[in-house]
Amino acid sequence: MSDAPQLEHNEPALALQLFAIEPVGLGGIALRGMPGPGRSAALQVLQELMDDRPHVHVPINASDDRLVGGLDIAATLKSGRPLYEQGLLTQGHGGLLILSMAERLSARSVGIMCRTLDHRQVIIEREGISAHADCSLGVVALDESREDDEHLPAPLADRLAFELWTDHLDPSQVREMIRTDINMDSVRRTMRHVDVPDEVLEAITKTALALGIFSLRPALLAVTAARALAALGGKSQVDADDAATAVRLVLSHRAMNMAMAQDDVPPEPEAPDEPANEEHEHGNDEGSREIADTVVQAARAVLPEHLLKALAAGVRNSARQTGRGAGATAAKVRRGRPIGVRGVTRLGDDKLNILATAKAAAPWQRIRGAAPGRLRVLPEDFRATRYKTQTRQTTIFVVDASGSSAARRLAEVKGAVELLLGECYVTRAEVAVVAFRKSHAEVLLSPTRSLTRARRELADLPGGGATPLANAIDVTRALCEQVARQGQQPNIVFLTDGHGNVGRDGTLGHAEATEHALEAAKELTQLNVPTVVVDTSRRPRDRARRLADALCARYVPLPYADAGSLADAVVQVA
Amino acid sequence: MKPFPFTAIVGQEEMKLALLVAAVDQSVGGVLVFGDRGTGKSTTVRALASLLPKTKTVIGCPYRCEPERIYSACSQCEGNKEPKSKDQPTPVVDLPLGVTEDRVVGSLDLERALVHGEKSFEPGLLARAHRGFLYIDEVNLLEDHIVDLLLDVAASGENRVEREGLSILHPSKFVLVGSGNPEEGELRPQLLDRFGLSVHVSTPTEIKERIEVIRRRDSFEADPQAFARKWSRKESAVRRRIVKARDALQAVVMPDEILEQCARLCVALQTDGLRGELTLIRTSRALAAYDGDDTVSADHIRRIAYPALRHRLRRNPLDESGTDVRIDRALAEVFDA
Repeated sequence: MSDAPQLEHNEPALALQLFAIEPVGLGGIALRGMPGPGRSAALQVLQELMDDRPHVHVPINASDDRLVGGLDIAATLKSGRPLYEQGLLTQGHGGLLILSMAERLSARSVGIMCRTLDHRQVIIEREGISAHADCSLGVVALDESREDDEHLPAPLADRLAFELWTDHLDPSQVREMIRTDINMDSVRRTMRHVDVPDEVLEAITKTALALGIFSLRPALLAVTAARALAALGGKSQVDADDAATAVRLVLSHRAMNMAMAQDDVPPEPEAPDEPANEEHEHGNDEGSREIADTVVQAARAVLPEHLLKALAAGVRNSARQTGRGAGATAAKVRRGRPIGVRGVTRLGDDKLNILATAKAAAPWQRIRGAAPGRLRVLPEDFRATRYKTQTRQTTIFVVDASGSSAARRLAEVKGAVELLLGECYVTRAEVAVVAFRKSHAEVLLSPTRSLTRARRELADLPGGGATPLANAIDVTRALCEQVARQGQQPNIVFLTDGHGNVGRDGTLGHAEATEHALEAAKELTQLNVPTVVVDTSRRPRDRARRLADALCARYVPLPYADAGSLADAVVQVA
Repeated sequence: MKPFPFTAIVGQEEMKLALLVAAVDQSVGGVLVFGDRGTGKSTTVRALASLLPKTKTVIGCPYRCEPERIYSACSQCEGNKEPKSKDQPTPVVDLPLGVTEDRVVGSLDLERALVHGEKSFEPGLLARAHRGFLYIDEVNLLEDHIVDLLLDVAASGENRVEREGLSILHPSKFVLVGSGNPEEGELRPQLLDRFGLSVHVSTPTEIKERIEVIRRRDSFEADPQAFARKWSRKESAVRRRIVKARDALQAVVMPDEILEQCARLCVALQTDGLRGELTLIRTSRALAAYDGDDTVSADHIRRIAYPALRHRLRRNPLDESGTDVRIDRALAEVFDA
């Protein structure tokens, strides 16, 4: 877990106060930490500072109609005309929207919230209702990320000015630092007229860029924070101190978060004296692009078609397939978190949501001429529950980048993974990448639907070093568990020659390492995850096949199509 | 909140160009804007609304019929020999995430059903967007069953609704504008195909440009009205230019030589089918009209080729950077040889 940026002792209180002054312009504040006295104090201080404004709590599983509002069936039927039920967003208008476990919000909920924040308006187009409602609010995102693989959704984080680490926040100190001697309303009014000199604008913008913050929103939030600071200090113009404080409060945590993300990237490749690789580094972009294309073409020739499709369909050793009836398959479709309902014209595998169907039918009873006390339901009323996992597969690529896989071979492996990624694109699966070399394995890319990112991470992956196969399997297992926790179905593709030489404890040695790898493999099989082992060795050998057997995985050799000419082609193009 | 003025948007020339071309000729197909966070994608699209000239529309027609070209199946205008019309603003309809199917396609009017026990059709967003723009922010997060509806209507230009014994068919031709961030997820290939133009936006790295963005945005936030007044003359100038271009569009000459070059460009790039070529021809003509030129020239093709063809290249779906390079090369091959 990472460290909090070092703020001056009064700054957490300052962030809270600024946010309470201008919740809309500053977007929001992330309170990062576990429930506890620090977080409670921060929340309470905010609520006291804004006691005349609404505070609306949004639970993690709030559906679309809870967020934006919809038809109030009970009231509608009672009054005989359509009545609209306010959503949480509109209820929060003018005040605070408090998001529980914001790090686990769905991308769509985040999309809806970001749209509302940007346009200060909610659009309701649901269940026969078409309306616009003003909605200016500030977001308090309770962020309980613990692991490095969890974080606040980036689009939301981009729009929130502040981030406070609440675990070590001293409640009494925060309270002491809050200024109660000022009139918040008058600060709100005066900050609009505060002058922002060009030098300040320039300094803030340049700093943001220097810190590697490319989105322009944070810089604008920092300018707004500087305005509020000047107004709070009774100044008519933003000065250098205000700008510096604003940068610390709004920009520093972003730079920290980004630096951490970069730490995950393995250090520079330690010179595998290998011509193709070197050319790749020095070659211009066009050249390397062509190399990639060539490699993809080469891999296309040798990969079995639709490997992933077969994988997703659960192709695996026969021993494991018994005892899986149709019931199990149907149950799989209905797993995961319900995320709303949708209309279905025909009931196939979908599970009818009785309540939603009755709700859909209710308003139309009069024109359908239903007898009192009876509900006349037509097919168009049918509503099925949608589950998050319905089609979501996550394919984990475990890439052997060690020396035994040979750096030249790595280019082909990358090509193969790109091809497989292409198939993921078609099936809209998520992908994750685990790479292993030298002393340990690491998650290069957490599950994402962005193949652009997968491609980038992969392109930067260096090769060479020892082969910590056992560790790779352990890391993969942890990732599978995480994926399953999030209600998704993991699949694994190992690309390795199966030649491990680093044990679980990090010691070198082939015999022990192999034993550890087989042990780790056995533990992984308990998760029952469909797995493929693609053998990347020069000549398919026993090792990878043994690994595949231990993993109860499908074994696919990646033949060395025409090794000499492929390598030559790569060198020539570069 | 008042929209930010279109003309005050700093940089992002390709995105602005694509939207203006679609405003001049709505038949060029939709515009897809994909790119980094915080680049003003949705700000720009929403800013377009106030630039669009008003168009003659039948008064009270829920399907926004054109007086000269009444839709044959329009129940409102049917049999009305001399429909009254007036200039009405071109709609830019927001299709929000979380929209339900009934609001997209239209459904029974709930109020009338409940209060009067009558069956009458309440048109949805597809009717409202007819002859205008339909905008989907975060288009890659839209639910699949809504995307399917859109694909169907975008292809046919008509929307058919069957509900409660009502059978409605109404025209729905719109410019589909989608925006999103590729890091949030990819777009379905079928949907990608519906867009005439595809624009990539990235954050400006030029420090002066970045400062100017922040400066304008900050002064807009501080006083939106004053800011809008400051830009109103530029806004009207662009609006007049669009009107002029629309009038001139049909008269723009497309020389045979350019037609042939378009064809050679598409062959060199191996674009799928004829769509790319058609889009290239239409958009270059609209661009020429917007520029006030009476003939399409190689320069117009060069400028519009990237957004018109970028998403049509047969390629690895993961490869983004390579496509512009390939278009560069093909352009050089066709025009500089």
